[in-house]
Amino acid sequence: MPAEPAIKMAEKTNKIRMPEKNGIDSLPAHDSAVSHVSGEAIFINDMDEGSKMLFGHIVGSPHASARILSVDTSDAMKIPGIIAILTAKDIPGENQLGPVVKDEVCLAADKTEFIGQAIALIAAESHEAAFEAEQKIIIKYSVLEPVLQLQEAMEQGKMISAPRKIETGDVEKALSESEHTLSGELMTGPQEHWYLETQTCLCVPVERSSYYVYSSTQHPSETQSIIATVLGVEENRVSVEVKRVGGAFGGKETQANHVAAWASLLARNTNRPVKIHLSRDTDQIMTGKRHPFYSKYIVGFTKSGLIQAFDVELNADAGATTDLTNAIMERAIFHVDNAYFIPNLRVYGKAWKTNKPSNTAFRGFGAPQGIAVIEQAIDRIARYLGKDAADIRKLNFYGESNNNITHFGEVVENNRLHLLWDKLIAQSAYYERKENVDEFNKNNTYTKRGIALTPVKFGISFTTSFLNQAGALINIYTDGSVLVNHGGVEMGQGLHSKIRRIAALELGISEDRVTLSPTCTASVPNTSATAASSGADLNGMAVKNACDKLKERLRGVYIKEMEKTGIFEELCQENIIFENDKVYCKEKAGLPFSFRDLVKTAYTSRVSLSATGFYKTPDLYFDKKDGKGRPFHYFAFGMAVSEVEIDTLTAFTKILRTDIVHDVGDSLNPHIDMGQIRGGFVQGSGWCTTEEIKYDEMGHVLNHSPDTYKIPTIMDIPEIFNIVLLEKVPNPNTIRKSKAVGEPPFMLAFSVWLAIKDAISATAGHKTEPGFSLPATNEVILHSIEKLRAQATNK
Amino acid sequence: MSKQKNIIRFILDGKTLEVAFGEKSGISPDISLLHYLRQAGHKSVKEGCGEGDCGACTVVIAETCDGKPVYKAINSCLVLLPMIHGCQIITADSLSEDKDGQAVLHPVQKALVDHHGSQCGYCTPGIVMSMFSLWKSVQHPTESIIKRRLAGNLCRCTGYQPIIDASKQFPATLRQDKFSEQAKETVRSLELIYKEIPSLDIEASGIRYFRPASLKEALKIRRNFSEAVVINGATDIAVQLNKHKIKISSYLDLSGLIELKYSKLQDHSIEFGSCITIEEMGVAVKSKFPALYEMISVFGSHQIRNLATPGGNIGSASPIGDLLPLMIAASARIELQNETKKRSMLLEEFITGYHETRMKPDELITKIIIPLPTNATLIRSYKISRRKDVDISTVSAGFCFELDQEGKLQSAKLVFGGMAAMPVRASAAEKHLLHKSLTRQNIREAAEMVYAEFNPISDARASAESRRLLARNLLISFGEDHNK
Ligand SMILES: Cc1cc2nc3c(=O)[nH]c(=O)nc-3n(C[C@H](O)[C@H](O)[C@H](O)COP(=O)(O)OP(=O)(O)OC[C@H]3O[C@@H](n4cnc5c(N)ncnc54)[C@H](O)[C@@H]3O)c2cc1C
Ligand code: FES
Ligand code: FES
Repeated sequence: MPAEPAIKMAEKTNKIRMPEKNGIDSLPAHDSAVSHVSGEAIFINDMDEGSKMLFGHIVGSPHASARILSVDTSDAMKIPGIIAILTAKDIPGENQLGPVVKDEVCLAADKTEFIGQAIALIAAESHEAAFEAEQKIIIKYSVLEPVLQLQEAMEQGKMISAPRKIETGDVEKALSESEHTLSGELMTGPQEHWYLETQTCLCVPVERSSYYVYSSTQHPSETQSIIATVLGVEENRVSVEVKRVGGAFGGKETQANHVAAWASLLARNTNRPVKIHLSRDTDQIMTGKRHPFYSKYIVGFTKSGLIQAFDVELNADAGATTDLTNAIMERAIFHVDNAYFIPNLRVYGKAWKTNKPSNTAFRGFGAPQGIAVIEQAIDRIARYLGKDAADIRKLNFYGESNNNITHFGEVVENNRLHLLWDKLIAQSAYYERKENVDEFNKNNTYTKRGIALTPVKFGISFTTSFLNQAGALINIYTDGSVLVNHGGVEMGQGLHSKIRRIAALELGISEDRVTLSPTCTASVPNTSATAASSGADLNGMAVKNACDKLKERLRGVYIKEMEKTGIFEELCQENIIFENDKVYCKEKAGLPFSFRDLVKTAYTSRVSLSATGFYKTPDLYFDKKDGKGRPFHYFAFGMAVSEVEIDTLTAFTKILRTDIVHDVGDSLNPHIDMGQIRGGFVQGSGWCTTEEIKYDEMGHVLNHSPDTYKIPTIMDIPEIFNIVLLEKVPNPNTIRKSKAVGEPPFMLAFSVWLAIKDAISATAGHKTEPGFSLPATNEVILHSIEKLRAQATNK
Repeated sequence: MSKQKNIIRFILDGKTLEVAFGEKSGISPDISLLHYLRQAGHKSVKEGCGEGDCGACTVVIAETCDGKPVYKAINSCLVLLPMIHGCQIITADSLSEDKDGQAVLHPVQKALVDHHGSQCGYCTPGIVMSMFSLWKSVQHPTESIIKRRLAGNLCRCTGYQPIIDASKQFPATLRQDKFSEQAKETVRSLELIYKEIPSLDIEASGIRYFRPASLKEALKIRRNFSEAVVINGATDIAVQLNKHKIKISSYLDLSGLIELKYSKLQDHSIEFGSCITIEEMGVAVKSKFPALYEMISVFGSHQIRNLATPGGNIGSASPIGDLLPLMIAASARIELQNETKKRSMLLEEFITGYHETRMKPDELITKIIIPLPTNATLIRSYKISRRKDVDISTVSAGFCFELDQEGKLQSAKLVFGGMAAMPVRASAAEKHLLHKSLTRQNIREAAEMVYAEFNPISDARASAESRRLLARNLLISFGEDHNK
């Protein structure tokens, strides 16, 4: 009988013995699994700083574009329980939140550029008092005409940053020589992150104008630096701590900085702890989304479907400020090829300013928007040529030894596409099922099925090269227990579990001897965001680096001890092994030290048991001018087949089955990797289907709560959902030969999107190109089918 | 009695607790159960939306039924604290058991850990509680039951599959836990609470809150305090409160009216007390009235259905109240009552406009009587929403056709929700179909008339044109099914 897991409530520990199992199953659950299910896991909104704590509240603009004429807070200040109301003039430091480009004010002073933009901050003893005060603040505006639509911004030339272009081959020539060309456009919609935990921060002033900040951020170092900027203090006065984040998906990469800066301003002014926890509606109204893209393209191809040229223009709706738009556009540009070798390719990227909250990072970071275009183009090529879209995809895959250079000059090494294809075709019985689908459609008038296969190739690394660095700090205590600090943030992706395993394996000790510290800028400084799927890659390497340093010191101690005994003479470092909680010499059996004893000896021998680690990804470079280089350390690959059924009258869609094969190198933890694949795919299918955001003509977002913004429920996942990890595919040059997995699976949801299109297309016998966009909501499906049917009757 | 005026009692953490409302405790009677629990230290109960849609706030309440506790998962964000007077409340942080000084996870918690069912963990306590209520009530849940019971718990991280797997593989052992061991005692304590404080009359923090224990009492309060807002499951009202859309200073809470929580099957009709929950209503009609059951199965989530009532659905008189089109089509009647008399009318006549009804300020809706379909009736319900589950209708419909012996229509009722300010009949289409048979052609013609008949709005859910197309298609869909 395996032992029952037990938790000691009082101690709040994770020391729980999991049932002993073999193989994969022996890997422990998520680092916090037990605290999650037992309800002990503390999030920032669960923290109480006693009666001194104040609630922060934000007064946002009701207008998408307006000049602020005056702000009068005098009546509001009289309400009992109101401690402070701040406006831009009360900011002691710089009124600036821009993470890259300094174009984003912390509090609007003279103009507002989107609905919900913060103008005043209230610190109150209760939420009720804050709400009352908000009603009493009088702000006078002169309302201006907002620019809300992307197309409108394009017409008015409201470009937010310099356009980008990458080109390879001779696109004009290749297009003119192509046997066939198709041109088209595609609109992909915004997506709300819908992390379960809304934006939250608690700032506690400590002695001598220092601040201890609990923030639900993906980027503690940047949060720290922005707080210091607005408070006008040096960064060493601000410590940002993150224990866990209740979901982020990119939404807390820069936009957690906002509430953190606001809470800190209020805390500084009142000298009391201040907590801000946005309500769901406020969060959805105020914060940015995935960038909507409007793209235009021309694709040239042979009669067999081989793509010769692709000319594409990507237009992003940046919202009111730059935020991460430039990097997002860059990644979109790097991914317009997806998994396909296109010898002549030209891509333009332009980002436009609209009067909406600044759009921001979201799982995939522009790649989904870029990939959607080529996937749509291939789908059209197939219909145009009357061929199977999967075959066209296969035909155009990057080659393993030739046809393997991307439009930005990076060689696609260790290409797994062909391996994935073979596995997936077999696993999903793609061709048989495709026939079954046709058969089904022949026999059914109003219910149609569709099937699609889509691949993903995703570049791993921050495209801004200097961000590819990470730090760690490891402390070994005298009882041999180990505390790991690193710069990455645990937001559900299982990073801490992976890191814990890495540290345990590197030090040769069991995992229950390793504990992860909350991420804190005071222990590991100057880190990059936990983003770009790189958390384990970068921080894992930094942790390894720290472990290596400690092991070297411990080996030294071991050698000295052995020398003392006089048994061994010339021991060299390499032969000393850390394994099974022991340290021993490989060549000369006997005399192992327990890890614990060796640590104790090191301590008494006055050897430091604490080490920092550092890592920077090697060999990354990119020349922005000629658009060539090696921006990515490696590529991750995946492939999916989805089959859907739609009721063409109600436009309800069911995902009947999805098969995924994914490449994660040597998995650091298959459970966690499968979790990322599953979760990413389902999140992607939400973006592709039900997650739609509408605005009214004033710029109010209409879907600002889960009442009208619909993410997938448990009912919406594929009825049959098979996920397989590619085996025996170690990834060279990464931590324990693993691969990043956070983002790539998101894009496999295009298999659902295009399966829906396939089903729609079946209503007209695959002869006519259906109107289609993303998300394929039931409204889109309904109108597309309506049009196809009308065309058929008119013929 | 007067001494007990401002208090309620319930069981939490295995103990009977008493909350005294007022300045001293700082607890106001309109506090949500969610906020009360969090203030009381149960931080496992999370707020993800405050409007019943995410399930992060799910807790389980136990009520007594035939001397046994019944466990129901509910959204604590939609419950006003006095509503749980006389219940046991169970939260994720109170599930584990103490054995030899060590806390041992509850089997559902362990199953979730074993299946890697949490990532960020924010949704997890709510998921645990939905799983717990499932564990308590269904021995061998099928995948479809599991999904139905968990549809009201949003998770943005996991993609749900491990949660399904965990729920399937609950240990097959007898469903014994500390709650079953203490069941008898719990029931006794809960009954004692009701015996000592059957009804509530709270006046505190500027709020008057009545929770009568009998209809008689309720009608008296209704007469004397007609300004008091009637609440039943409060799923409509609490959302508006949480979003600061309304301020209410007095409440008449009907959730304690056991006498109106019934369903009665008669020869030709089925009757419901207005305070029965939608979930219980679903159980009652499953075999007798599939069209109604189908509608109920896509009504909100399990947690919502455990709170919401038909009284509230009718009382709201919303254009997108899901029970309304079908009940109107089925010629349902409702009974209204004041202190002195009862009157009954067709539901169709009761609703007069956008959230407007013929109810008088001293009346309450007490009963709903729905004629059961006969062999000569064809009755169907439809609901279209952007997401199939836990979503408000874009368009809904109830169709009822009475056929004569030759298969010609004697009567046709086509009632649509979401197409106008209130549920409406497609009269032109109805007229077109009368005395005809339900051929594809006839129905198609009628469907085109449905398309032309309405002038719906465009909103966050759909455009006017989509609504028109969908309304038309629903009739076509009926025709296709019928002529299969
Ligand atoms: C997340 C969520 C999902 C939902 N999904 C659906 C859905 O799918 N379909 C749908 O139709 N609705 C849905 N609703 C709305 C709501 O749940 C229903 O309208 C429900 O039937 C209301 O019942 P209640 O008892 O909770 O009403 P309450 O909020 O208690 O009352 C609603 C109104 O009815 C009046 N009232 C209640 N009882 C009586 C009575 N006996 N006599 C006179 N007046 C009375 C009240 O004064 C109030 O005006 C949803 C709500 C939420 C929060
Ligand atoms: S908080 Fe989302 S359902 Fe209650
Ligand atoms: S685990 Fe993050 S929302 Fe469910």
